[in-house]
Amino acid sequence: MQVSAPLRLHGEVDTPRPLRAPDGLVRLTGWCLFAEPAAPPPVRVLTAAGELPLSRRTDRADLSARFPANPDAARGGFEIEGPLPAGVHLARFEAQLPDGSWQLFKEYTLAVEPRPFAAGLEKPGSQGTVRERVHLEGWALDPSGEITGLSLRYGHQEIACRLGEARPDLARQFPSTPQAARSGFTSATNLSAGRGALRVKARLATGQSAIARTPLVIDVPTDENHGPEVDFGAERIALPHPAAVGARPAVAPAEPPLNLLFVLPGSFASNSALHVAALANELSLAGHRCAVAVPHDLATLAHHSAPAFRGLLFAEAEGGVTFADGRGPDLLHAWTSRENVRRLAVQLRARHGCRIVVHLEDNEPQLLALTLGRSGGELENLSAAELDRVVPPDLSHPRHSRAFLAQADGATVITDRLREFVPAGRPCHQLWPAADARYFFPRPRPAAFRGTLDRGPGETVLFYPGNVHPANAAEVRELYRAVLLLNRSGHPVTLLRTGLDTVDFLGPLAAELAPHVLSLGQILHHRHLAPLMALADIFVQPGAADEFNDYRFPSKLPEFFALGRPVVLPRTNLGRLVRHRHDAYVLEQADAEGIADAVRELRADPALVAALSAGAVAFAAAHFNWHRSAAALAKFYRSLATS
Amino acid sequence: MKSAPPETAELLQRVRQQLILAQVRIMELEDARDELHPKLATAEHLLAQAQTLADAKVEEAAHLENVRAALQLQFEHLRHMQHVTNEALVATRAQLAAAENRIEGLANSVAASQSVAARLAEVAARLERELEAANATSASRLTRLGELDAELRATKASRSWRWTKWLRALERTFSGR
Repeated sequence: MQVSAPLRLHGEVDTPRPLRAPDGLVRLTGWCLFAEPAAPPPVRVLTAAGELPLSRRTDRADLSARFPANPDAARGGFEIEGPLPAGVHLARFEAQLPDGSWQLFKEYTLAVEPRPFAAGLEKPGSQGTVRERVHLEGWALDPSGEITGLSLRYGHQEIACRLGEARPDLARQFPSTPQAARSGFTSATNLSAGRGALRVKARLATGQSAIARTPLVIDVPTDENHGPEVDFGAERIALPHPAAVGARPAVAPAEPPLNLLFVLPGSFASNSALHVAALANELSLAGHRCAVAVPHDLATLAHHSAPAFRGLLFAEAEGGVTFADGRGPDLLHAWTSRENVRRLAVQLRARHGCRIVVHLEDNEPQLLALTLGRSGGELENLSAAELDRVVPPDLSHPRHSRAFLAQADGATVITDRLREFVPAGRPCHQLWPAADARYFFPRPRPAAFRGTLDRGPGETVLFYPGNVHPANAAEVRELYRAVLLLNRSGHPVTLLRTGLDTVDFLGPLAAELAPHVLSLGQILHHRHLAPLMALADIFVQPGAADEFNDYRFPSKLPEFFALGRPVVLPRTNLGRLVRHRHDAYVLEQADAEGIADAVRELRADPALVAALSAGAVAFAAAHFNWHRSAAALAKFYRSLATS
Repeated sequence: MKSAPPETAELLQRVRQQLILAQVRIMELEDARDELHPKLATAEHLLAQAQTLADAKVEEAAHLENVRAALQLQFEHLRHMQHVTNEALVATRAQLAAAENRIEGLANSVAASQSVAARLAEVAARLERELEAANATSASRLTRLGELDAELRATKASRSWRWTKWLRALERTFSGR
């Protein structure tokens, strides 16, 4: 008996690797043949989830030269197509030998995505433009499961659909998808006025949504709610929000790096958190390890763009804070002397033996008095027990905070006046806030958008970002009153407001003010304030020199200056340092009358507006810079560490 | 500023407010999109890397399987060789044993031969000694013979011998010799 020599199998997969099936449908090409004279063998793809047979042979003229002994080599190409379950499979490419057995010639991973939600429109057509108010019909099918709701979306419209009509044709087309049998739908109503590409949106049983785009365009010009005066084809006027240009200054790595823990009295949504986040980001970029503890709402960390520090809750920090190098904090920066901050700081110093720096940004006794509605003297005379009872955790206890400052290794203050609260001889560093240069930079007024927003030509837009609370209610009321005075005197002024009101500070003025104020509520992401603030013509910080304002530095001021608009502010805190009519417009008292006069003057004097805009930018460039502030703060930390 | 009817003014105010809030929402959605795009790209990249790595491992596994198969063949060959070698070893050991037996026999023969040789050597030594003694005797006798020969030649050369030649001839004649 004569025994023939075994055939030598060769093959390769030509589909670029890694092998992917992006819509659940596998499409693979390659070649497979014997070196000896023999017809190209049947080929298959075998996975644990299923098998795909050869779909068709293809010509491969190049193989004849490589396998001259096989006259059939030029027919050695293959294509395999078919569905496979979603997942990453190990795909065995096998060829059938003359004896009927299968032999592996290649093995690759194959990532198969789930088959997508699919939909088609059939009536009144599958493509083109629909201009009539008609019902639409079609089919919608999600191979992964049931659809619980279906709608058609185009332009600003969303039309509900009734799904579940029998479709035997689709049942035959998708035999492995039982829901195909009832995948027909009809729109619940006729099309409403609107214009845009039609999408079919499905709500799935899993709670997720899926969209299928169609080649159909809807262009219904009018309906009972939309007259011909509305042009759905008009171009949308967007609010521009360009990114900052310019590279960050190079940062010399800190050696050795410090473990720094900031402790905030409120969540990451607070103004203080903006300062701490900016400093922690800069210090982290300089090589230090930073963590920021907040008493509640850790999720508000998401409001910050790309934080370079770790956020944690007080509850977690109480058990000790360990940094990446396995050590605890070298220095704890208590952001204010407020009770919740003080308690955690004292606890962590006992545990870690770290140095403590206390940051002061308000006249804390005055803030407590304003919040509790009791004078400072009255509070000082309260018994220890009564004082402990009335002081809330997010304000400073008059006695405990003094002791806390006395025991601290150093202090930072936001204004020079706050040094009064720092014990004599204690190292103290003044720390000015700045504006996030990624978002707050000179922005032109978006004229097109203002053209849409303004009620008429010559309108002035003021912008006030920030919450209203007992401590600033009276002065914010003056700003609102100024808006009223200006509108009453024929100067159309709109005040854009963001932030929350914790007190009713307008009383009977509210109704008259309503047409002139656009309250936008809390803007979750601080970076979105910048393009909104660019809508303003003038920024106003109301107030006057007093026991509250002299000690604070409104955190919005650096942002006002950085955006390059005239800034009207009272002669207190920063107002004492800027030059009137050069850097800003300084009022002895930024009350309603003073603000209204300043706005009138500015609207009448474009040259002054231009000068103050340029002056604001120059002042911001010279004085507000988080990078410089952080470098100076790091130097201060270092001096404490070595003292 | 001419004021609009209250309802219109209120509507306008709401529209203006919503206009800005819609822009805020758009910015948030754009942020979400911009955050998701790199994450999606990263996920795609990671999947591609994971697949590439897995493909490399599959290829390595296939190569290792080929190596294992080749080693298995070598093992089978070596096992066969071992069997053949074992058989040859057994045969060689048998031959060796036979050879050793033969060597032992030869050794015994050699020993016997050596014994005979020793005895022969002793005989040879004795014969040697006897030969030497005989040689010595022979030498002394040869010496004596020489002396006698010389003496004879001297005698025969002497005048008396020559003068008595006739007498000896007479004697031989008479004695019958």
